[in-house]
Amino acid sequence: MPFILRKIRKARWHGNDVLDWLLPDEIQADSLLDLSTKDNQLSIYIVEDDRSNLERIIAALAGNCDFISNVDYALVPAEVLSESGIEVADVKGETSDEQVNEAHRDLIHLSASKLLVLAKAISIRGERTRLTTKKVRKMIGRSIANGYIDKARLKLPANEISKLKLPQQSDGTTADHGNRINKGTSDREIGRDPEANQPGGSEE
Amino acid sequence: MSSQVQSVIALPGSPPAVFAPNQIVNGGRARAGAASSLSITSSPVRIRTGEHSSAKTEFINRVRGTVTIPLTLEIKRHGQRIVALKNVPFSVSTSQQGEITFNSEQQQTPWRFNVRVNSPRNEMSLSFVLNYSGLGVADAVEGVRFNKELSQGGEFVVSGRQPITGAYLPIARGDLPSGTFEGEDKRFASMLEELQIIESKTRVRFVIPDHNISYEERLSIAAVAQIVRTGHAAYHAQPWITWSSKGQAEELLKSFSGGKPLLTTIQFSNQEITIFNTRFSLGPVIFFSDKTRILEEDLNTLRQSLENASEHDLVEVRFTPNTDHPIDARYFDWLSPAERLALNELLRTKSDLADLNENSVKQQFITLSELAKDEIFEDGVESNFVKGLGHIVKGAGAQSLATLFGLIECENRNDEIIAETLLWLGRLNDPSTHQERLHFLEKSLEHRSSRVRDAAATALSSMDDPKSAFALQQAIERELNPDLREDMRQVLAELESVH
Repeated sequence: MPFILRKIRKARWHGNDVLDWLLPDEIQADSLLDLSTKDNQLSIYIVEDDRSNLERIIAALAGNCDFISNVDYALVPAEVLSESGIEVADVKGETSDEQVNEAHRDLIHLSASKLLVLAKAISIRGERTRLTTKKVRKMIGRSIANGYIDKARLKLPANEISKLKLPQQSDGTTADHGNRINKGTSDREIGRDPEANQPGGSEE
Repeated sequence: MSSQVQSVIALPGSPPAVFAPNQIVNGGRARAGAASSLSITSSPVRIRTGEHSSAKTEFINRVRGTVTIPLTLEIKRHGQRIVALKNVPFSVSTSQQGEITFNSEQQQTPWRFNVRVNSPRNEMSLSFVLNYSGLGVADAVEGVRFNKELSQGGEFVVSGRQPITGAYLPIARGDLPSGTFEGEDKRFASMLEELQIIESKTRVRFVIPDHNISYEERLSIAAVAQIVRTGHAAYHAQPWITWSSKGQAEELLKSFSGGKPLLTTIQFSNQEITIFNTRFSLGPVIFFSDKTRILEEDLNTLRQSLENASEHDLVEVRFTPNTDHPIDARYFDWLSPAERLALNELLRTKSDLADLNENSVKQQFITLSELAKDEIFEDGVESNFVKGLGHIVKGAGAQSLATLFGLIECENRNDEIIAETLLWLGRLNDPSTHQERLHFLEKSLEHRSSRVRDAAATALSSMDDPKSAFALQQAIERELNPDLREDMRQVLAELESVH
């Protein structure tokens, strides 16, 4: 079963263990800020059931930002969409990784109650994860090195790109998009083992 | 004034010893002359007058034995009195040969005269010595003047008052040659002039001491005279120590921690000075010490002192100025009205600017926060709020961060906005404020809001300074939210891996 990925801020999903005014099983209203719709639509990405494209999606999303920061995201089983009757439209994403763009979807014709179902799914069934800035930076670097990200299409400013630590080649050159693809790295980072596909996990 | 301006540090009492007037740059050295001490007694003088010396016969005829009467000694030139010593008690005696002796050597006065007049021979001899000890400045000045005029020669007249009518009565006279002895030491005369200036300005009266006057004393006198004449002084730049309140010391630690030399402006409420055992006040003084630092070892000492100090303790702070730059001082009470006005304006402007700056930063932050309530923040996306923060700090300088910290600590601020501010603080690329930001973020790990604690930990991750590891470890131990605790552990692990 694939997952849907939505970028969030984890702190908006803190429960009544730290918010004493919040009743058990309720979610704070600010959680909905992470599900802010436009034209009753919400942007998400589909993560393969083996999470093989997870790191690539995160790197592409982070590369589409104004600066490199931590990335908080929620993963929810995609079946939530069918269970709640949420309609999905294939709409290409706008990141610098074409394959990631193919994984982009818009949830459409969203009602408030459907949105609340999605919010509860994230709160109760979802995995909410944080990747630190350092990990994100390395992931972008690897995506560039693997040729997934078109460096020229990165939205990041030059000073942020200069902070990326691109993996070194055996000849001492820096692996880069359009230069060469390090297949070994690619296989290790985005292999078939779901445990190995926890983004950033291989860095520790 | 090339370095950054530091606000005025106002301290009660008198400045430390390095700002004693004898430390003034060239303040008294030129006027104080050679460095030896000054005698308070003039050199003995013996003069024999020329021809035509005489004494009044009728006066002589009245003297029987020895009598003590007040007399006046005058020096005249061209019939005009140049200088006079009035009412000096003399014992007067006559010899059988008709010689009259006017003697004050046994009298309790500073003047020790012995004047002999031999009318039959038309001779007069004069010897005297002046002991200035115990004299007021005005009397000492008269003595010096008399001595000087005496050395230049003229008609020497001993006069008294007619006992019944009180009329002026010349008793004896003689012509004094010029240049038979040196006048009083010019250094002594200069010192007395300076003392007169100080007396006239301060209304304090001095008495010449009973010991020789040291070079240091003369330097002080010359410097104080300069201060009360101009209100200005420049001191040799040497390290100095002040005793500050704990709050002031904390501010100083914050200001000087960056290691940058600062223009340090310190005002003392009252500088007291002692001349010839007379203590008096020069009033408030302000020192402008350019390019001054607190050395690393002194900062460490200060940190330790602050840790151990209670709220009401005074804390020792040691400043080290650049020795190439004298420390300028302005004494408010002795400046010209125009200068005093200008200085007050300058200080008011600085203080008002600081207030204005702080108020402006506060107002801008509050407005920005209000506008940001409608903004949805997202990681990696530069919000309008953050752009606004950048503009505020760029406009008001890095010091405005302190104001921001104060505002963030207000309980009624929006947690989402505080969190966004903390994340921005963590990303700021400004080494000069690194320590302050780090400290503030560490403190924010204790915030009541989990959202703010989360942002503080994330911001510390951005700062990537292993010094925060301890604060994070403590925050982890306190944290109730398992999710947040895990995120903090992640940051801690990264910081601990930083070499």
